[in-house]
Amino acid sequence: MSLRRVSSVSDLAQVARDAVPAVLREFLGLAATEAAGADAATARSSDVELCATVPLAGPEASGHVCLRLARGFALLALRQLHGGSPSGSFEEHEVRDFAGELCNLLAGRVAAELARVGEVCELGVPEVVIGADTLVAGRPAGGTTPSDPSPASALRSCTIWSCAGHRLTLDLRQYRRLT
Amino acid sequence: MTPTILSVDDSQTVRRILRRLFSPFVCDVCDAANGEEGLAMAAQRKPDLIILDHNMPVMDGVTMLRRLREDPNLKRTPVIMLTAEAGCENIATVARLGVRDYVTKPFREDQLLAKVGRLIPLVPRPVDASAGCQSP
Repeated sequence: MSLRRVSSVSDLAQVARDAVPAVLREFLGLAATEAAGADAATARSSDVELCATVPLAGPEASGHVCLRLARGFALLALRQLHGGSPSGSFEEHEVRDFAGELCNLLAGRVAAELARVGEVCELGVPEVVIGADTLVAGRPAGGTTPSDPSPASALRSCTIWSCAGHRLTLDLRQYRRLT
Repeated sequence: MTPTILSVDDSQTVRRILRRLFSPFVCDVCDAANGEEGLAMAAQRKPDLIILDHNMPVMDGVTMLRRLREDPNLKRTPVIMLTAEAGCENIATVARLGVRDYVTKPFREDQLLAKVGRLIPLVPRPVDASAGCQSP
């Protein structure tokens, strides 16, 4: 689906639907399908979850790309990336680094799609924390902080994905500056 | 003479991927986690090629690139820019700074190897040589 501009939650969700399967396929060679329904929304992973956030900042809007994933998925992906050795072990900082880089790649794809419809933005650097219920309000590129958004100028889309037996959640938030 | 590749990326995941990517070839790979470390490493190792991430903490890729171009010993070092952002403005900016090529992440390994191979010789390691990439 080709967007003309991002003006609704469904538009933002479409950005996610374009970005997630493509990045997971290109980066990891894994297929991802969107989960749907109440079960997807309420289901909780029993695994330790990581939350990676990349801030976006542009002249007209700012926002965040927030990715939640299970530690088990990160380990699987690292084994996939580094030669596929099933016995490979990884240190915690490598797991966190992977989560940050995957979020960075998704944010890049989101930014590219937003730029395509005229909403140019820059990426900040990823922040990663342990825990699924945390959003890090990272400092966007350029050192500026997003303006406090009013509800009327904020869009949020949360999509849940299944990949290699694990659940990933992509939370996109866009705060449009009031003119 | 064995070429030296310097990879500069804040992501250890990416640095590790690049080491693995070049391990079948006769080359030395060194890496750095940000532009500041990258400049120090470049001054020390005089790489034949720099693979440089665009967005990094401490010092980003564009700033490192500008500093490289100011250094008479390093200004001619070919640079391939890596980035998750594919915006035209970024491409135009780094093109003006003399980046030889530009790769969007996630990159296809065969495409990156082809781009690197156009800038430095990539000679396969003999099969019976020790595995892995040499590093300092």
